[in-house]
Amino acid sequence: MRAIFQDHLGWIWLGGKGGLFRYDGQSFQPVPLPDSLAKDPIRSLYETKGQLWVGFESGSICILPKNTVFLPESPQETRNANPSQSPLQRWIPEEGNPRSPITGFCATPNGDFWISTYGEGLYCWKNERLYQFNTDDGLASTDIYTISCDSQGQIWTATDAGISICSMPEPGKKKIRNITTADGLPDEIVSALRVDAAGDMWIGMYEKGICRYKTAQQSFDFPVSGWTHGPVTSLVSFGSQEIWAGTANHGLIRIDLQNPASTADRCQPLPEQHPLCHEKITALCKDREGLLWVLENEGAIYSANIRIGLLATPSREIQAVCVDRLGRLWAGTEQGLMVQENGQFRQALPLQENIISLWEASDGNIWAGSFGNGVFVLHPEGRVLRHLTEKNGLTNGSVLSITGHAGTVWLATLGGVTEVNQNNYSLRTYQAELGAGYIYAILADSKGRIWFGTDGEGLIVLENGAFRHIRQAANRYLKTVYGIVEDRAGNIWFSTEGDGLFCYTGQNFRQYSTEHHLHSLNITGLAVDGNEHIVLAYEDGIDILTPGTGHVAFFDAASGAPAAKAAFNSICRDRNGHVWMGAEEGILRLATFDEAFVFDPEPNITAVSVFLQPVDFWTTTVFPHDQNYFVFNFVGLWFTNPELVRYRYRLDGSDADWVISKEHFASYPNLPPGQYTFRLQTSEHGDFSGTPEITYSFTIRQPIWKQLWFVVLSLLIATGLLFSFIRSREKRFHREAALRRESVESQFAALKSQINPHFLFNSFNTLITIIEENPKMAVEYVEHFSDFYRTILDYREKDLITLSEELALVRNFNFLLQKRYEENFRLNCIPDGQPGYIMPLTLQILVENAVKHNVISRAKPLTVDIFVEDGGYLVVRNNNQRKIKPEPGTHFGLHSLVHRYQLLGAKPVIVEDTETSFTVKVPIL
Amino acid sequence: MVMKHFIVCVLCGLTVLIMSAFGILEFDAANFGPGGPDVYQCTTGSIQFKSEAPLELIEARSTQLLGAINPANQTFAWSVDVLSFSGFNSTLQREHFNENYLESGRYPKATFAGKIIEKIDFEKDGVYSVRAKGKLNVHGVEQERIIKGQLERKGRKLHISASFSVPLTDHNITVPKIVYQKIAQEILITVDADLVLKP
Repeated sequence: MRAIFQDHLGWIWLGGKGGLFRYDGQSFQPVPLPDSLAKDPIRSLYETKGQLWVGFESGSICILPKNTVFLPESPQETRNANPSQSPLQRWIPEEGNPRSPITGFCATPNGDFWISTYGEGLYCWKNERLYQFNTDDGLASTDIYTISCDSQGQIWTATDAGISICSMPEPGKKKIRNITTADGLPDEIVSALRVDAAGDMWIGMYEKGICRYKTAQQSFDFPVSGWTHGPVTSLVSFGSQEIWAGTANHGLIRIDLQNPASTADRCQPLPEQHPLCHEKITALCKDREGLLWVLENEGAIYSANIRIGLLATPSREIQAVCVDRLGRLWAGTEQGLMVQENGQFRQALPLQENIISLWEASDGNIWAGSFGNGVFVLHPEGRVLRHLTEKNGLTNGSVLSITGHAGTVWLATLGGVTEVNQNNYSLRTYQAELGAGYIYAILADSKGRIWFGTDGEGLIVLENGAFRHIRQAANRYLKTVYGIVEDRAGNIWFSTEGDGLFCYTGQNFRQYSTEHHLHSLNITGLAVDGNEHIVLAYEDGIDILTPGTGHVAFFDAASGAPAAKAAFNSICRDRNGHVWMGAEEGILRLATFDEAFVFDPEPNITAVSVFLQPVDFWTTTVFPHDQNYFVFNFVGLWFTNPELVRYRYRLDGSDADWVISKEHFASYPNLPPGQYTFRLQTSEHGDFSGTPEITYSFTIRQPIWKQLWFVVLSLLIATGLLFSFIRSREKRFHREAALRRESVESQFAALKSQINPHFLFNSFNTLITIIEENPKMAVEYVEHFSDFYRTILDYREKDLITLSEELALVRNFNFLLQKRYEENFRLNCIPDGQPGYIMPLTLQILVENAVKHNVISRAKPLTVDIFVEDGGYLVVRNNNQRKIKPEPGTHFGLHSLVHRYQLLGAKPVIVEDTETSFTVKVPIL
Repeated sequence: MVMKHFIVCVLCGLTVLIMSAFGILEFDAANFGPGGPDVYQCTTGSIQFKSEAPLELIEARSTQLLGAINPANQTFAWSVDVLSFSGFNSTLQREHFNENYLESGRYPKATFAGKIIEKIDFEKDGVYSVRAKGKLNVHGVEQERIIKGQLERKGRKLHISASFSVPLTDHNITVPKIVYQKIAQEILITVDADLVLKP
């Protein structure tokens, strides 16, 4: 592994030869790389605008888009997954990719994105254009180890030839300022850079260790003389108090910026037996919880809670600790008193006294209380100034606790309290006032009150010269008080036997017990750290209580803290706010950094599945009614101790109450349509009040047939259909009625015309003529005549008849006309057997009209042609020789014919009246 | 009609400008002068530009590409005479290109000179993908650019090819609003050249 990065959601990303992984504290999820990069080692990782940037050894660059959804697969399945389904996208600008290893990325506040390479210098991506900075432009070297952005938005590059500070105020305009040894840089070869909280740049070098460049003063400070730990590969800062340096062959070095002692004291390497002591560190990372992540060259990954450290001491069982104003650490043991100077512990007392309490007086003297042998007063340089015992008037030789106020030192012993004048060592004892019992703890507070923690007599306070016994606190009867401390606000905190911790604000008491998530009631030490957190020491760990929120965080061996049994009341706070605790194995230090860390697990919804199919829940929030089986996958990122994370979730709209679970998923089959919000909280100790919450709101739509618009629309359409149906039915009825009426009228007209007296008269006249001349013909004539009438009567009821039937009728009619007009009338008719239908009597009416309205004589014979025309028309045409005096008529015949065809919905009847001919075209149906 | 021609011309001019920018022209006397080290000099080269606008495709090319690459320090210089571009959709277009857009009278050359980023072994035959970093001068406006291309070495001969885009705004080439639909805001340039090592 070469690169490590924590993204804005709290995930730890790791990249190296083995690929890219996302770590949640419990498992590494591999992220498939694009095929072409599968074998390419990853060199650098960075995040900006929610996108993860991945830089490769080959110079290739990939982006993991914002809000990429990872499937909740087991790592095994992912490994088998098709690598072409990589969520990573190649980043290829028009200018082409670098061909040298990508050693770093950096986004500057003005929107520029910087890419450093080992071999090609620095690239700046500005306004969608890539610019290169190399030695021709003034860059110190094109081999860049790392880059960092300072508080002014300038890019610092670490090279073998010093530092180049680059910026691009305008496209193509390059600004480069080089810092070399000539400017005071201790070493030409710069291998690590890190901006601290104050905006100053920490510089890690090849030979000369580290130094700081003060941006405001433009000068170097904090040089480390006599650095012996080899090349620095990476740096991490913790507040303004500590720098941790990864080195090329000496593991990790902790640099204490507050320690006023010598350089050697400031730089503490790992203990010799530590596995990382002689390893090469490739990368360091500080996460939001304050954990230090370490990548070791061979691929191992370490994380440590460096806030809690164990300092090994020559003797075990540290019974008392104290840090003096010079930063020296004093430790009381059964074998005597030790003081740490130049990184080494030495005996501070000539004899092996059993020291159980320590205190630094306002004049700088160290008071060391022993078990059975009184108290020793030491000059800061180590001389014993006084040794006070029972012979000198101490109430008891065993001094359990020491405090002081305004030139007076108070000693709590196994037999009452002794007050000592700091200057002349005159004594005053209190026994009866305190019940003569053991006094475990004593505290002089900021208001000049003296507090006593007694064995069985509760809490006693000496205020304005009077002792006051406090036996009741928050409805508890106080018996034994083990520890007393005061916070900056003046609240008095005290730990008890069996009732946990109390806070006395001056007006009332507040109790904290296991119900308030204290780890245990066996509190062995109590202190307030520099960030005003209450530190509670137990034999198996440490609680850190945040008074404002009541939040308690527990640290033990499982959360990266050293396993050490904290000794009874062996605890103190130094001037830097660090808390020191004597323990079986040595001295524990709980560091306080002036930097805020996250105290709660970060809730993350990792996937939302519908019917086990993952959905893009970042953008999809509306689901159809049948997509109603939801599974939510989530994780609470808490790298301090992932095992402790508990989840509390509720689906607003479905769950009435919160569900508390250890599982990483929640499933909801068969959700009815509605609005839902999934709320997730995480906690590492079971108390969910005030913990961060993440929500996902979504809607399951009503099925379409239940949605208002659909119902309304359906009703409208139904109404419309019904209405138009009724309308068309009415129309049809209307038309049918009209047709029937027309038909009846036309039949009537036809009949009327056939029994027209003229016709009958003419016919009979003709008949009379033939009877005498040709009786046989007469019989035939009468037969046709009667046939004609019978056919008319037969057809009048029908709507349509075949064309053949109509032609047969016309032929009968023609026979009658022929006999009457002889050669003066000619009908040219198409042969029989024509397909199609026609309205009954159509041709008969037309032929009759022709006979009726035209002159028929030998000089002017009338010819009627009946033929079929293209387009489905039957045409009746006669030569036009109108009678001068028009035949009186109703004009009903032709008009009715046209109208009836119209009612049938057929093609229109065409009437053409010209000089020479009269034509009627009737559609064949 | 006149407007259309005008637009086309403008477009063409723009394109030519861009093309010229790519070509190198000004040889660095120190690097390329007589008596200097062996350099690859361009024997035949062509540069082509293409403007693909919604309403019209304009293409033109020039074979009067001059250029040289110095293998010793990986520097290069290219130049093209803007007036040498031909192949416009009409002569009017070409005129507009030269007069209105690229102002070929004032800025007769387009150049690109700089250094190849990748270390190329000019002793070895092969096809190299290279990036050339340099100053592109078109229409008298200089822009630093990285241009990606292919370089093929065969004995004493080099063949190079590259294609890249040139935004009009980079080189202060302004196109009237009315011809926006005819001239692309980014002109695509393609270059092909053969070079031979000469002392």
